[in-house]
Amino acid sequence: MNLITIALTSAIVLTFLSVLLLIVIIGLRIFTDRSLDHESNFRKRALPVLKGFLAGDASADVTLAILAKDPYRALQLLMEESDSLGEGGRDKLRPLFASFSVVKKEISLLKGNLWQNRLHAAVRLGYFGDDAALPALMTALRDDVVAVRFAAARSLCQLSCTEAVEPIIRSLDVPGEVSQRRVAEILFILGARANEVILEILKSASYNDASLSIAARVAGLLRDKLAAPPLQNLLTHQVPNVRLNAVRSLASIGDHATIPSIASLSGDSSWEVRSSVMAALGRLHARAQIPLLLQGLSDQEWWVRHNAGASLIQLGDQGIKALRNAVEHHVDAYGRDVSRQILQQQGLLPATTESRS
Amino acid sequence: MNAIHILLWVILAYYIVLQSIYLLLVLIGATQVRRYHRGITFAEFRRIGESPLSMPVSIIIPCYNEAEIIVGTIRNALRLNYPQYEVIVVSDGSTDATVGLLSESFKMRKIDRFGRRHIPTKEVLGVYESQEYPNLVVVEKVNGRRADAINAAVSLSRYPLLCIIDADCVLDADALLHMARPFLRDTGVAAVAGVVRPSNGLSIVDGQILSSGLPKTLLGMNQEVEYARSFQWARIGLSRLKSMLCISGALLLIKKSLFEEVGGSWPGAMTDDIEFTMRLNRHIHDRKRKNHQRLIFAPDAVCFTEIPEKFRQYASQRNRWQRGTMQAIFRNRGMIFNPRYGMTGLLGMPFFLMFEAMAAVVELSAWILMVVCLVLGIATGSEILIMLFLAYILGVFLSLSSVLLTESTRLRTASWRDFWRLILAILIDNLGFHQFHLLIRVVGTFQYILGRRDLGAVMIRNGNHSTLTQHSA
Repeated sequence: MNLITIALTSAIVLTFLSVLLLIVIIGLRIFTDRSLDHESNFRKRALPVLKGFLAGDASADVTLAILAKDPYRALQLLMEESDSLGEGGRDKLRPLFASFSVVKKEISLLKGNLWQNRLHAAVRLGYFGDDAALPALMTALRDDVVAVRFAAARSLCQLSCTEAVEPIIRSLDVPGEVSQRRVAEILFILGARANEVILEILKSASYNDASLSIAARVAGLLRDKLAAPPLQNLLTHQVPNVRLNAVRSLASIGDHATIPSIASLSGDSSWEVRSSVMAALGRLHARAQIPLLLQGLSDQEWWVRHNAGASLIQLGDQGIKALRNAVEHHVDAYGRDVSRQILQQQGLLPATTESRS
Repeated sequence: MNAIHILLWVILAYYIVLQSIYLLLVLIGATQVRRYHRGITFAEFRRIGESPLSMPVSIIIPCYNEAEIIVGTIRNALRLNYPQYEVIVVSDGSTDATVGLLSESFKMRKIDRFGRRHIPTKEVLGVYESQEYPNLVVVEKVNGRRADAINAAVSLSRYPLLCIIDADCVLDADALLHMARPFLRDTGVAAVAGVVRPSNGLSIVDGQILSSGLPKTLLGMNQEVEYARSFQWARIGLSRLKSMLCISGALLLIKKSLFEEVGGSWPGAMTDDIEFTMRLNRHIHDRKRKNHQRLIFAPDAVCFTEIPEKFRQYASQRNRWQRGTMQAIFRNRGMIFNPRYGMTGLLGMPFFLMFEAMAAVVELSAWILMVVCLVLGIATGSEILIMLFLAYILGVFLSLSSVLLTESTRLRTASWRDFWRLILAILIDNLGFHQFHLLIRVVGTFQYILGRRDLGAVMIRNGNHSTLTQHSA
């Protein structure tokens, strides 16, 4: 076979494949159009009935009769509605979810080999409100794929499973601040029910740095005053991230007795910690710490300087006066600059503010 | 076997390798897109959008004499769905009404804002903050090219993530959510690139996309096909192979710390985005550094950019891109076939050199050789036609593959009319347009060799964003 014959054969095969591809594209397009139309029509019919059911105007039977016409989209719709409702409202949807009898199927998907299936099953089980899913979700906390573990954790919290707090923290103590924030946010779903376990973790010495960081963060989000003493103990922890989360959480809790301990970290080796100390002093209205905040205006890191200035503003007249004074008399040029900058941002320094036209 | 035969075989082998790689990229792209979409969970983007813990972003928009469109671009940026972000617009020594227009439209007032100057830039003349939108900042500086403007904005930015876009870009409302998602899932993500598609044909009012559509001109339609091929499977396939060496400057989200570590954009570059991407790859894929970081392509983060619809502007733009590509490769030539950079050095850079930078020269050689063969009687007219048809139908097949990948996404053409226009553009793409593009690139290659380093003619905007903006106002 010579070159031209090969080229001709290839060209004929490719022409055939291209025509085939075009037919597939047209078919897919028709299918997608129909699917979108069907979804739109289904929503138009089902959504008012569902709203009526939640308002007590439509019976469960009538609602289910409409939803049963397309179970897949019905579940999507119920999940969306569940998301928009508060915790109490979600319970109203439980009988509707239960009527689809999909929990067993989802549990089997959660135990399957495909990680994408496990991921979606873990997410869906949180919405169905069926406690039968709890053991499978607890097992999923040990999944190899981090995303599945996160999804299982969220679902466990949606199902109000307080026994899962400790396993969640242990299974998701992956390094990195963003991951720890995500875990804290998930545990926050549990609300005050998580307080007791979080407190135990903060007091215990058997947890690693990541777990402690997460627990500290959650305590701050929950604003549990009982967590202030153990958080204060964490201010001397050797890992900066733990100290950082302890400072932030103490600021959120708002216990004025913790101000001296927080202020003691103003010279911390980590700029993130120093920066959060400055912010915390403002949030706690620590007027006695004005000299420390003025000192923070000349820190080598911009964020520390900025937070020190912003905190002075939060201290009211005394702080603003100190900041105005710093514009002229601060020993450090950076301190003078940032003071001017903060005052201008707040519209408190009109003399040098000029509009551009 | 004489010299012409050897050359023929070399070109044929080149062509077979190139098309095989393309087909491989189509397959990888298809599997990656499917994998990506299957990994998105219910309400995930809504959660990112509502979470106070999502990483804040500084959006950087460098501009030079963009009075026609800049207001629409900023209004679009200010409307994005994202919990916390700031918009920094840098007027890089604009001589038109850009700064005055911004002051008027957004009620700017001068402030003193200082940042850490890790990267030296041309002098900043003033920083302005909007009284209407506290998260909008305008920086006025001495002209120093797009890269210098970006570097100046980075110094003044506050947030850990930087989103760099062009002045003519209109972002999909959820684009930032889609681009931020990989950073939240994986701490090893260094930067995320998004899809760029032509904005010509869209209906945009006040920076808001009201309806989709395709460009009206043939040249615009051919670029639509080109962008679809490039972004629908090529980038995602290359990113899987750690070989995404060109992230469009129109849409990039990157960690600020990494941007500074790499040394920022290089103001001497003719295409600073390509040069920066190569340097970024060099930094993160350097085995000695053990960064273990990754570049990600988000196939559902979309940005629309204005494309030239006049041949002269198109030629100038592509000529600069070709020279910029050559410059970037030459500047980072140490990566080529260098095992220190892993797959990027052994596959990505050689691919970029041979099949991106040099493709035009090789293809033009093939055309010349065909004529020579015909004249010397080595090949008959019908044999030449068969070879040409093979090249044509391969191009059609690859372009159709990109349409197939697009059909199941939000980027599919809205109407059947647009769909058939796109198919028509695919069918005629290789009947003159491609050859014109080839010629421009060959000229660009030789001009680079001869030392041309300017940025070419300034793109004249259609101003479709701004016209509609003013109309709506």
